[in-house]
Amino acid sequence: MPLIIIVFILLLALWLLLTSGDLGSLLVGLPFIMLALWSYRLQRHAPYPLTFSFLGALRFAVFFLRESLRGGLDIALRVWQPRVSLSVAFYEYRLIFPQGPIRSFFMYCISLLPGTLSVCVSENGKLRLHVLDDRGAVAEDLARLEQRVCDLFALPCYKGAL
Amino acid sequence: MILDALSVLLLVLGLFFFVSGLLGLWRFPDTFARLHALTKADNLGLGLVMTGLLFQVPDVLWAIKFVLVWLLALVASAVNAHLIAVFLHRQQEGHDESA
Repeated sequence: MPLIIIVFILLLALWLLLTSGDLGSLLVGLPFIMLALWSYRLQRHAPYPLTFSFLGALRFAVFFLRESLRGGLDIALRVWQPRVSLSVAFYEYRLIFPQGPIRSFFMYCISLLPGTLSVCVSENGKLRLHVLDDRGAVAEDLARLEQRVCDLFALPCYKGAL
Repeated sequence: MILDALSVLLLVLGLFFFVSGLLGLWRFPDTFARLHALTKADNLGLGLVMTGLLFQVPDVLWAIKFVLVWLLALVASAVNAHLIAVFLHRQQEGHDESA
């Protein structure tokens, strides 16, 4: 089955799940599913197969929940202080994932985790990100996320290299 | 009864993080820092609200729905933050070149 059909079925299932199977709501849902499929076709990278590991997904979920908690607490601690203490900076990090869904996933996770926000991939192929506090262990945090993403997609990762 | 209390506790905690995100939007010095506040604090806030509501669901389908809503909100917030950051970064670089 072509990939686009599979994505269509997945999106349709998602919509029906969210609307409790109300078929009339497809009047709104179907145009948006088509829009999503159209944007899905716009991606320009070479396609590559994706693999998943169940155990990796579990480890990733635990890691993600813990880091989300840490990220939210970090913000709360900063905003409720009498003086906001930040040391914002731009930061560059080497990317090990090729252009495509895994790299995008990695970049979005960075934005959801404590103190980091991915900005763009610069011309030298490095990831440019914004950090809230450059006094923290940014590289270590990113390397840990990288390892968990490798676990999730069943990729062999050894000391920061694929 | 205990489940209701747990729900209330989680909802209040969730609201606390929403307010923290809002406060960050107000108190943080620049747009990048404000994006940090919105993505992290609001996601945790929504996650806690979602977990609090999980104790009140009538069936499993609703539980799946809540988790899905949270995940979709996570994706939307990460993508939005990224788009705003890229736009801002381009604008600042363009400004530097002209200066």
